[in-house]
Amino acid sequence: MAQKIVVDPITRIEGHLAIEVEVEGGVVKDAKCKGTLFRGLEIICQGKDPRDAAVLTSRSCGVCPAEHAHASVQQLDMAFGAEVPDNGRIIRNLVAGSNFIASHILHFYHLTALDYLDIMAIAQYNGADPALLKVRDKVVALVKAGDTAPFTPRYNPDQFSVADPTVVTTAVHHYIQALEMRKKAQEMLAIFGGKMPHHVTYVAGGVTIQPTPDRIAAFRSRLLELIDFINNVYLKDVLYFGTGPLKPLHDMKVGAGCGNFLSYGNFDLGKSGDFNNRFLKAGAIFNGDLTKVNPLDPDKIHEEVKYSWYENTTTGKHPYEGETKPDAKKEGAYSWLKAPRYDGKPMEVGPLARQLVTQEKGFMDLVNKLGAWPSAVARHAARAWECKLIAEAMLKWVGELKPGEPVCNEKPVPEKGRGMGLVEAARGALGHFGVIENYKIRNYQMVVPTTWNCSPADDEGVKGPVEQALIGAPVPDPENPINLVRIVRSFDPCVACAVHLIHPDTNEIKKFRVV
Amino acid sequence: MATADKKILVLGVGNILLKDEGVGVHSLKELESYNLPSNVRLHDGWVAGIDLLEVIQEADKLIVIDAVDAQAEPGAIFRFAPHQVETMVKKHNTSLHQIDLFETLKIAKFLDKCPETVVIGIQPKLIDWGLELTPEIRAVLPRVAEIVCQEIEMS
Repeated sequence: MAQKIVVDPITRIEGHLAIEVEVEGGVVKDAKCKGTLFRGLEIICQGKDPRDAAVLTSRSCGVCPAEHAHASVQQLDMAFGAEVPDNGRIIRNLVAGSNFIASHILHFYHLTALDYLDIMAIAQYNGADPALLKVRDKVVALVKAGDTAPFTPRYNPDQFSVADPTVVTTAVHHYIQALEMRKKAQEMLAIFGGKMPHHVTYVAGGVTIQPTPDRIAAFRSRLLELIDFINNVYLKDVLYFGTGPLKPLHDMKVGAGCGNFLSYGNFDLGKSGDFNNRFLKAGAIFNGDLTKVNPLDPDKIHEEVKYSWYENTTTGKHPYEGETKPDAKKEGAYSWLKAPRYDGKPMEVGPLARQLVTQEKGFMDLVNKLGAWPSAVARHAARAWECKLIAEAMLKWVGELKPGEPVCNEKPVPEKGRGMGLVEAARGALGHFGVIENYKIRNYQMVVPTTWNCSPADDEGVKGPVEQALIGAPVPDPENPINLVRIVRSFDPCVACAVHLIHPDTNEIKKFRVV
Repeated sequence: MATADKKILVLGVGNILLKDEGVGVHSLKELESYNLPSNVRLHDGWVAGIDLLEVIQEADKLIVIDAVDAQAEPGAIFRFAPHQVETMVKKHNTSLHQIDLFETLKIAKFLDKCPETVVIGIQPKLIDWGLELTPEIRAVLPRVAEIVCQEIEMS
């Protein structure tokens, strides 16, 4: 008899993403990935000044706003016919890179590492490292006070959880260091973005900020600290866990996925928006065949809606012609996410897809050494490796900025035109597609990373990448489905644009009424 | 501590794309017209979670303005400390992605840098697409600002 498990994590009042799986004999037999919020920014954009799109759509998310703005200004560059000067291109790369670093460090240490640690092992630490003793004493004090936040509530540790007291205490020490490090990455973003989140310096044709020597120096000094942390702490931790305690999870291919990988490429090296000349490459891999990376063809992108709450007449369209017509009562539908497909196939996007498409030698050596790809653990390895590659490349790019030279090639809003901005957000391929008519936005569509990864089934009934990654996963204890969260979190999902309302279960708040 | 030495942070949070859900952010605009002491900083927190950690850590006193659902009539105003609504964090309510404001406060506490915090909550009338507050909620903004000013004076 199959047992149904629903994991419905919530932030404040509304769930973003619910996972519903059927478990039989300790193994996931079926999985549904449900986006439980309607986004609707496409509708908000209609009729607006095209230049507003970058500001409006960057509000999709407070985690990757830089990349929404990036995709949006790239679609404007194309529609306006604006060629971005080198300074503008490099500053955009530096802002994007800062966002990647902040996001990757946050993801590993603060969003997912605790799924792999038996945090209570810290109490057993009896080494002599003063920093670790301080961590131990703090956690023990929290336990004694009966308040173990922010480390609980979490799922209970299982046989894959790391329980060595020194390792766990070190990891929590790094968790604290990582808070400081990602702050520096956010500061880097703000140096050229003006602020974070929702930076303000991106415009069609380039950026509005000058690369002054003091900004370059401030950026560079933080970047050097981050490179040190990434190489000596983050990457080492991930490789230690991935090749040691978590190797059995990797070897079991827990969370393998659909085997198709898509990357739009990121970090323009020549002409802005040219996805064939990027630091991280664009391309597609099918059926896990790493020997064949197919060139990216944007015409092959479309979205299907059979199992999504949108009118059936809108299915199968390329985003330029895409429509957002909700049908909340549609029978058989189970998600607010559409099902994006590339060449008709579900595609995994994100760091693993980018690294497998880019095929940088160091990473491919790791692939060959560890074997058994992909897996949930592999995604963390790809993310950490990518973080190192990007940070080191940024050091070179920041040196290529030329103070005093142009940052923007301003162009007027055209009466008519269209453009697509294909970039990578930290969590995967992000496309913005805009159509301009009579100087206004006629149509706007965003195809975001989490719609690729957390897509519901398509019109043919083929399930999305996360759904496929969940099927077959071991769940020995349905009361503690920790593998499910490990798998889903390895994709770094983000279904933002969230309602954000304090909502305790009880009416206790009434006691605190003031008027 | 003398008031003038105390760094007071007024943090308006919420999503202004969803009408009354953005009441915390709208309240800040109201407060901008007040002649606040120089030790008070108004900060637009939007829907940021852990990104607010650094901002929060710099304050001695934190006043959060947010929408709260207490099943009361629209515009009702509430005042409470985060630990008084612990039901928030006793469940597995960690999002797969975002770290919310309460969890951020817990992290700040773990780092020994958590300011004394009070939440001023407003019962919304309507949470739906739209940049404007409903008239009922807009009408309570002066009262919210007044309560925040009292909170500042008491600090």
